[in-house]
Amino acid sequence: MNRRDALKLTLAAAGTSLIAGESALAQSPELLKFLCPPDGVSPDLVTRPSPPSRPFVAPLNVMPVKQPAPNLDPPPDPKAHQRYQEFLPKKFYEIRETEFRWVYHPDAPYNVGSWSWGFDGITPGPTYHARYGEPILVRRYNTLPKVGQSKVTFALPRTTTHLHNGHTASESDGYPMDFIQAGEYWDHHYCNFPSGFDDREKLTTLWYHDHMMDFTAANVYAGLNGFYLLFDENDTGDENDSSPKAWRLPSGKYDVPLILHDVLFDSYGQVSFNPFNTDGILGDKFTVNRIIQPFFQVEPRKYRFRILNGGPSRFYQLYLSTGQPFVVISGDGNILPKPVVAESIYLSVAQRTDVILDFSKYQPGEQIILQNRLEQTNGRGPSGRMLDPGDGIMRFDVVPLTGPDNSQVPDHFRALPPMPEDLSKFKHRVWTFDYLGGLWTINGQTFGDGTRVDAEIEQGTGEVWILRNNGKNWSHPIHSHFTEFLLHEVNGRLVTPETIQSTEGRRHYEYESADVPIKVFMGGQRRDIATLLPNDEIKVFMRWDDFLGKYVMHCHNVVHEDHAMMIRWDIVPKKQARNSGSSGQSRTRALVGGKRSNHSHRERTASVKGKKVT
Amino acid sequence: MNLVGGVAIAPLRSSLLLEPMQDPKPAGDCARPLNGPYAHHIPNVVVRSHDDRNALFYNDLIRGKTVMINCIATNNEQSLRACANLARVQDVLGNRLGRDLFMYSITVDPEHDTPRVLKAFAEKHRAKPGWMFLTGERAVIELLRSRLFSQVEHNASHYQIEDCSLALIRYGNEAVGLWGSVPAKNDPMSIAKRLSWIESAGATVRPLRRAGPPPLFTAPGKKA
Repeated sequence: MNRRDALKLTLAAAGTSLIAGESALAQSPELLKFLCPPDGVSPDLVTRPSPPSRPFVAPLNVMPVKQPAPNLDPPPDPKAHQRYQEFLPKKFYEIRETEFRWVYHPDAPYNVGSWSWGFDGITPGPTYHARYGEPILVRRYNTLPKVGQSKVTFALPRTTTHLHNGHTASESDGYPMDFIQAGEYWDHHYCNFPSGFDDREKLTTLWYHDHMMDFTAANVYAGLNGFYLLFDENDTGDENDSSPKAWRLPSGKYDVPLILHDVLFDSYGQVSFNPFNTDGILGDKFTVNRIIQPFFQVEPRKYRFRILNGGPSRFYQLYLSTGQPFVVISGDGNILPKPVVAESIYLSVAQRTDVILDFSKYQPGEQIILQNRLEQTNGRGPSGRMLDPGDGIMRFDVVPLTGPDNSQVPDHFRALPPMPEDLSKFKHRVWTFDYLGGLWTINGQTFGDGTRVDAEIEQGTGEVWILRNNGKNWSHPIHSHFTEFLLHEVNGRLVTPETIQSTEGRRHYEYESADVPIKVFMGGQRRDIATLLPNDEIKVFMRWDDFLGKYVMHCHNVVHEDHAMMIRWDIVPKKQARNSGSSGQSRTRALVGGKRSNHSHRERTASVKGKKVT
Repeated sequence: MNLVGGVAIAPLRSSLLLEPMQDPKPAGDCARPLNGPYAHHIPNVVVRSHDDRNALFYNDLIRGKTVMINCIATNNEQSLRACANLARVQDVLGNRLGRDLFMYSITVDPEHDTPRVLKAFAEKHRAKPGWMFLTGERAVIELLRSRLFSQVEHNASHYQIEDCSLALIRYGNEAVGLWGSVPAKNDPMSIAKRLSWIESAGATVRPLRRAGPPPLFTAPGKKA
């Protein structure tokens, strides 16, 4: 019996569950089509599945914390960064993009190592521990082998790194055309201050990943990503902190980032990537921190897990095999006003959540499996069915306690930034996500070469954006750089700071108080991914401050992004903004570089009339 | 670097040292040219060119080459625009077109787009040697299209109407196995530049060179 035979069907449209069977299926022709692979080309994971591997035999890989360098030689160029003197780096880092063999699993053929790319010889790369109020500068060296020399053949050794969720100046943000070649380096200035110096804008779990034009999916699939964690006087990273401000969340070895990737391997254990798939690519091996179905020894105490869906195209709905709920404290790096208890976690691509799991009720020797029950059969999005029991992602093995658990979970964290009472006075823009001529489009346009400016936004202003999915058959996790989405409405239903978005099945949303345990956590009001399921419309408020320059919004199904579902928006000085759809050959050229024909990473980020940029 | 990364999997390193890396793609005994990484995926089917010659798609047109591939229909407005743009791309490629860079435009309307029709279409767009317009049996065309462009079911109405992938160019260096995609209406220079990204190159030169970000201010007339 294969997995498909073992499916249990959850029919959510009517808010009821049906056990799979002919009678249930016969009631809905719509569901029947999900039972067969699509006509045409079968997915790679069906025709050429990965070699088998035993689950839960490899230990979890926990990435080391990145250590600073004493200095940089040559030193950074202060003139290359906005507000450099104001945010003088207190720490410097050097990191190298490299190629290496990575052992995803001890079983053959994986045991010989899969050629991969990563940072400092590992994938995911090392984890940055950064603090608000402590600017840093990261010098990123591209030391990858050039085309034809590289053992990873499907990825492009031209790279640009985006700090996802970062409130980062344009020139350090990893714009897709700000790429460097093998043998070059780029300085990223991370100022580590909240937008507008408003503490309510603070973030916690960020991640860095490659953002190369046309090749984001391939380069991230090859291994170019890692975590970047932000701490402050509340989230101090010390569960024994005696400061009255400290939240004392689980810390140190009890604070564990987990990045999920589904990967497909060839018969030799090498990573297999299909560049001819426009819909999105799926793997059949579930990895956590690039280990196939690892186990992790946990003590009977509280842990903080920072769970990230690293893509490229799969969505997850995570459960614990014991039925234990998750205590959710953040969505997409945004600390919630207060913890939420949820039976499951829904993560579209690039979504993140910090959860507290308390294993204190278990005895040493007990095992708990983290499962994904959301079925997805192609790259376009979830099928709408649930799997039972689901795919095992990783296993927690309980071992004896080694010391007291002094960690706490506060009843309240901090308020979210407020939504303006009257949104009508703000500029509105509508972005429609669609498919045309083999490309994924936004308002009928594709990204082009990154020189067309689709929206000019005045610095210091807010706008209302309506994100609309025109597709009936696909989902788009939409991400905009630099600033967070504050959700106002989802499909016409109001979102408040206390609202937790929850979805069961494909089309059903429910909103509940954060005090009541919910079935599915899909995110709070503030986040950086707006998950557009089929036909969805999400209205968000956003505010842009502090820097000028060019940024992007795109679908974070990175295969869709690479097939050009991306727009460029620029932050421009007040009173110089124009409507969307302008050409790069405009007055913004002086501000953000505009149209050019050579390496666009030489674009200027620019002097600003009437505003000092240091 | 020849590392097996990961602090938590250090015990696995010993097994790696004991087992030499297998050749991921055994070459075999014969002297035929080596297939590239996507030989299993790209159909080796018979296609017919606008100058009325037959070719095996993978063996003759793709294997070992750097190419751009798009879909067209000669009576389709979008294709006209795409090919007008490709005509400008071929000008940028200069004499490398037909030497080590190739452009293939595959019709998705083989019943209408015979070699004779394609020849006229090629002449209309001033196609130089190295830019080939291809047709073939309907089943061949559907196979090429489904493998190179569309993984979706053909009976879905949305795709039937709108998805001929006429707006998309695949570009690739199959000698390496490196493929990307770019919208067909992009600036011709930016399309041509993609081919330089995927060209095979020599070893990385050291010392490493600063590439950015560039200075925010540049004196007038001074190159950054």
